[in-house]
Amino acid sequence: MSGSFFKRSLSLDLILLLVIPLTLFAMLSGWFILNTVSQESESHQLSVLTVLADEKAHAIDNYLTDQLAVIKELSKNSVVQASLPLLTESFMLGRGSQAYQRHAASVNGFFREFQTRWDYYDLFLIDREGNIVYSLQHEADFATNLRRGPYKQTGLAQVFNHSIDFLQSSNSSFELYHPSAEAASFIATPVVSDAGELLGVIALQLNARQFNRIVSNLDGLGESGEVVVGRQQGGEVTLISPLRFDPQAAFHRVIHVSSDIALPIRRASQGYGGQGHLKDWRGVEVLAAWVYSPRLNAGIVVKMDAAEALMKLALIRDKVFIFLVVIFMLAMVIAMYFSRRISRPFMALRERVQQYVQGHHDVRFDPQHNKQAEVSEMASAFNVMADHIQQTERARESLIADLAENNRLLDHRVEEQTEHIRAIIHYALDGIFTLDAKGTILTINPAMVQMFAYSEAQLLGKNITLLLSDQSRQADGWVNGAGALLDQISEVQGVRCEGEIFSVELSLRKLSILDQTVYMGMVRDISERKKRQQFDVDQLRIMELIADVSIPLEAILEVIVRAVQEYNPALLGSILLMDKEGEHLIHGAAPDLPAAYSEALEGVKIGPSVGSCGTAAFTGEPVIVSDIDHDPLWADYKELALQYGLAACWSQPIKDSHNRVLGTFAMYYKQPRSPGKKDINLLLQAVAIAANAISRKNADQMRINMQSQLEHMQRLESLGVLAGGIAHDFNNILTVILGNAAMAERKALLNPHATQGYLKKIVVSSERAADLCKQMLAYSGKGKFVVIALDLSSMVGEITNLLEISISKSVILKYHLTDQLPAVEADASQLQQVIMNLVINASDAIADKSGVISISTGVMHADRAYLSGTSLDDALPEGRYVYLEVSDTGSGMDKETQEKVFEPFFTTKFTGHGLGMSAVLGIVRGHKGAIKLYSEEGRGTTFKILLPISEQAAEVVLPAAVGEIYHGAGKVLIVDDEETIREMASMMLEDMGFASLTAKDGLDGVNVYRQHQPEITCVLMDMTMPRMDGKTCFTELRRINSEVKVILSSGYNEQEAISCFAGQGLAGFIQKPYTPEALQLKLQEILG
Amino acid sequence: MLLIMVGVAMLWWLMPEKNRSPIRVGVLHSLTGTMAISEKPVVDATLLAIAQINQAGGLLGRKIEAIVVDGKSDAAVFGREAERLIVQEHVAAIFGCWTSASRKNVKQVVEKYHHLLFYPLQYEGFEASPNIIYMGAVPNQQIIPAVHWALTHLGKRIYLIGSDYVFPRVANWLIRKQVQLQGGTIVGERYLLLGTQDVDATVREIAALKPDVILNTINGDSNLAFFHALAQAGMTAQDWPVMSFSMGEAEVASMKNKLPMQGYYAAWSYFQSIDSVENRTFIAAFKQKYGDERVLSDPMEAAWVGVQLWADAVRNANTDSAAVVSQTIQHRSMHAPEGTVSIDHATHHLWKKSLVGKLLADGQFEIVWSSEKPIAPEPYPSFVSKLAAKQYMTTLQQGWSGRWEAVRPAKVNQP
Repeated sequence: MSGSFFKRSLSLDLILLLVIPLTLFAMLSGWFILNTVSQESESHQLSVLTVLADEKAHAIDNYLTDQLAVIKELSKNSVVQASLPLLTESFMLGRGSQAYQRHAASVNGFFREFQTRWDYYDLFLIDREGNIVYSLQHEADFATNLRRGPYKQTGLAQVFNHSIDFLQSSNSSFELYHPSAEAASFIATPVVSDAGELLGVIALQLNARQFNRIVSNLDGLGESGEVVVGRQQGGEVTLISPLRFDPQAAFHRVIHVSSDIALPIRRASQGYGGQGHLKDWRGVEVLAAWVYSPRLNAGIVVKMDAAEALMKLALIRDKVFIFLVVIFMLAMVIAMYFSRRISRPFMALRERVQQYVQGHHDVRFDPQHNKQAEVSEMASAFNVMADHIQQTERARESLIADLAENNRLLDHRVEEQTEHIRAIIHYALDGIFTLDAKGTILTINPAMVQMFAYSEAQLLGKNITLLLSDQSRQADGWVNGAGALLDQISEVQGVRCEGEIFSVELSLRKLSILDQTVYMGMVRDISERKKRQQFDVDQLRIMELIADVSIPLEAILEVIVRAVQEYNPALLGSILLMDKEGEHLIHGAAPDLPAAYSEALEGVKIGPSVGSCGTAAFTGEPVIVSDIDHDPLWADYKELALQYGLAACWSQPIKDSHNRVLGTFAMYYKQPRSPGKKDINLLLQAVAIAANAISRKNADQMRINMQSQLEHMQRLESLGVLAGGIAHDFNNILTVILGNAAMAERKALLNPHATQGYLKKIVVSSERAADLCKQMLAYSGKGKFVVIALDLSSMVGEITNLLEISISKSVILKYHLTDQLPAVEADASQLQQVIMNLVINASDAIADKSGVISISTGVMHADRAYLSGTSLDDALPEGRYVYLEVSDTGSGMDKETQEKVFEPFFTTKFTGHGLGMSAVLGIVRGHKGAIKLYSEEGRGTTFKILLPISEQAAEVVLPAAVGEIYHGAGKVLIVDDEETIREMASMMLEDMGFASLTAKDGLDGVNVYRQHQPEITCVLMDMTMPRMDGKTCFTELRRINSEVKVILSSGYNEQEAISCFAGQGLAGFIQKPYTPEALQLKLQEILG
Repeated sequence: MLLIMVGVAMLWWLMPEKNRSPIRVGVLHSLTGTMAISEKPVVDATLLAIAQINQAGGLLGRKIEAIVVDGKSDAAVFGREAERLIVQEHVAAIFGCWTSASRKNVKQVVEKYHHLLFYPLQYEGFEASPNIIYMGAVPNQQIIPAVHWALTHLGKRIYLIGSDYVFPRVANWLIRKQVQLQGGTIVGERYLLLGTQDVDATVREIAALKPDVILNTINGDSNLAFFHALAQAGMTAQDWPVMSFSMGEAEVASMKNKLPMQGYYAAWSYFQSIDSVENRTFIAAFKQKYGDERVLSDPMEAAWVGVQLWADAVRNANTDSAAVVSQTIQHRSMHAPEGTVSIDHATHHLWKKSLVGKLLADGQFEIVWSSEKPIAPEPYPSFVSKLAAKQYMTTLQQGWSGRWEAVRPAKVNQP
């Protein structure tokens, strides 16, 4: 080891590392052991002292209770029992009396023996009044009274009182008793005779010697132990027994209660128990335990000097200390040994390293020399390091040579790449340039030179603002450096050398090349792209125009031509259209061609060599004429063209999707010119748009034509439906007219006045017929579309008759028409057709079952949501609408049918054309209304038509104005739904002598027949009736009476009518309208 | 470092356990039935002592946990519950009982298991079980001094009235002997069933006999009926003095608003009116816990002292084992609210003073007489022989079919 002992070294660290924890640990455990042991030892000693104190109290208590037991026994002794009354009695005579002396003498022996045996100081007999009537010692107390006498405050008096009052034995505590001039304690007990009489009290004076002997027994208290007994009286504690270290203490040593010494005896005499480690009255540290003795009314303290009590502890402490020192020394020795052992190899290593540093590079360790693994590894590591340094030295030299070669190769590659980049810039299509911070052009590539049409020399060294339009220069403000243009692609206006302004895309970046700030920029000519975009926008606008049916074709074509011209201002566009025959070209649009030129060409006949357009229209192929002057196709027209300065004309035929030529699109130029790829594209595109526009307009025209045809066809169809009904109805009317007329004719001969009624009926019926005709005419009305403001409710009212005859007889029509409806602007005949169609469809939906069709009108508010749910959503405005609703209780429609119901030629009927509902839709659309459909399968269908409210009031439409001899017998039942028929028939029958019964339909008929069957000879029955038709009614009647005679009367012809009753026993048939004669003949024929 | 850490860990391991389970004690009193009115306040005082000890850090580093059990005013239930407390609840001690009948049943149990009962009430004596610490007075500490005082101050003609169970019977048996020795006369003697309200005949008899003093050993709510009947009959405390042996402040508190109780006497070892530092502290603590309107009585104070003495003994013995504590408690004494009390090692009874109090209007007693110092307990008074006492007790028990009280009608038994 080198260096001083205190210098930090490995050895010192090792020593500290071993010694400090060991010493700390030893000290800590030593302290802990000592602490625990001393605590345990003290608590053990205190427990021992407490036990001793308890035992001491126990011993004193036992001593006193023993005495009490003795005196109790004594009180029962026959000598005492016998002598006490005698002595009491004789004492009254005087203590010197003979009687007393005799009695006293007789017991003296007994009591003396008792006293000596038990070592009492004195014995007293006391009468009930407190007189001491007997005493062994005859001290001053004898013959005094304990209640009143001089000793009434003594212990003897206390125990006497206790015995006599409470009939209990007791003891007093030790205190100085003056008659005896020493400490004394008394015990006393009542003397009760066997007869249960209280005779007096017997008392004993205890000897202090015996008590002190018990107190002074110091067994187990060693050399320093002491017992202290003290009694508290007033504010002081008086010791009542001698102390080990103060034999004169009894009744001499007094401790004040509030004193700060002798805590144990103070506490104990006050009635507390306890234990503790404290200083006693001598100022010596002691361990003490204390208790209170109630019988003695005193505290007892047992104490022992701490030094003695804890002597063993001191021994243990010494041993622990020696043990610690030994451990410390041992730790030092071990630590030093190991530190030497560990540090020695490091010394050797240091020597070798020093040698190496001095230049002995061949110095090496012998790894086998050291036994410790770490040191041996370190030696090997040293060797490896030395070897490694030698190798590294050599490697470095060869590395330098390699680097030189590498540098050369790198130079070559840099050159190559620079060339590469230069070529990219040179051949780029975009202009590339660099600027300095002020905007001066530093470099420029050929594309840039070409784009701006300057020479390179003209631009280098100039400011970049030279190339920007005034507007861009101001807007983008080059002045403050690159400003807003930096780091983004912006669109600016460039200026070419000759002053042409064009759009360029400019991108600009700030670069730092070799600490110099440079701006690098790229420009791209986007003028072409811009034009293109404009054209696309135009194209979209044109598409919108095409979609608008209200804009005429010519206007659209003109817009197309203008858009093309805008794209290329050098050209003049022209569109010529093919006429209907496909032989001539007529004017389409040519806004900028001279009007005279266009007029000259109007109606030109197409042919194989008729200029560009005529030829193109003829062949269907594009015709490109680059120079009109020299082209043979233009031989006939070139003068005309040249006259207006037109030098070139390219024409492209416009064709529809079926490749039919619709016209041509021509581009004229004022200079001879061949089209480029861009020109051809533009031409084709323009042609496509024009083709679209022309085709669409043609299609619109066709659709309008179709629609009017469709409506016409539909009207015809519904007329067909009407015709059947009308024929039937007309027949009914005619029946009435004929019948009444015949009756009038017959009556006229006899009584002209009686014909009045018949004639009136004829007139009424005729008026009805006329009305029907009028309605029919109005309906078929060849109606022009005449829009007037009208009241929907009154309009429905006008055609009620038509509606009723159009529907099945088993269907009931109900009207819910709102009065005072706002007017709608509509064509009356078209709306009538709508209602007709809906009602007929409703009737068909009910088919031959019974059902109800309701027609309602009213006003409602329709919001957007409601309008969206209609079948016609032409963006109608929200608001109030007049509605017409037709609903039926028929079969309803499934979803699929609902979707198709408005399509033309869709039908569910066997004989339908499928045009009714599409016509309805067309009409409603024409009135700017909406139609809503609700349908539920099996429940029925409702169509609701909404019409916009007119601002005009309804025009007042006048309400539409609305007719021998056989003697039969018996009753005839007339079953017919027409009241006039029933009335007329019964009139005719009564005239013939028949009685008549009427029923308004089949069901009613069956009921009436059932009631009046016996009287009824014949039934005259209509065929079509609501609720129950003729056929069913007939079957029912046959069920009641198989012989029933039924004459069928119908407006249909006989074959048709009776075919349904074939072979069923129909009595006869009579065609409506019938005359009374015809009826009479039929009845005669059947009834005979 | 490592060594130091190991050292610290070892130190920790060697330290005494800090966290331990609580010490369980049984509190066995009637919470229902005719005795509940008297016993519930005793439970309160017991729990106050336990709470105070817990508040001061517990005992041996552990908390005290009170298991409060209802004896239902039925001696048999007391016996069963005591056994359950010892066997199932593993209590360290039982604080409980009021009537001698219940104590005698519990006595059998604690003796069987060498356990420990702290009994808070004055009683008839003639008993000294090593397993019971009797906190109340025996006749030589209460009845005999009080009777002597009555004979001296009130007159020689005495009427005895009591509840029909062991304590009043034995007490009056002793009084009879004492009065004979001290020159008085017993003019009448009557017993009422526990809980009865039927006292009219007795009061009529008293009115007829005109005694100088009535010695009352009625227990429970029959007292109310008795004093009510006296008041009804117009018999005032002045002319018909009554000395009660089982009627303390707690009982008076429930009666004083209904009856004029002023001027009646009672004999106890403790009155709330005792003027001492210990008593003032005790009253303050009790009122703080239970309210200002509450009063304290002798059995309550005795119960509180019992817990304190037990705790002191446990501390001294360094264990809560009942067997050890019953030994170490023998020389315990303390400054109780009533004055210095000490356990008499021979009898397990307490050295106590004897007091006579006269009721004031506010329900408190004015102390009219006090013994000079604590009186040694004498469970077997020297003026009667043990044999005679035993014979008398046996006769009583046989008369009650082996029980320690006269059989009560069922409806009274289960209020």
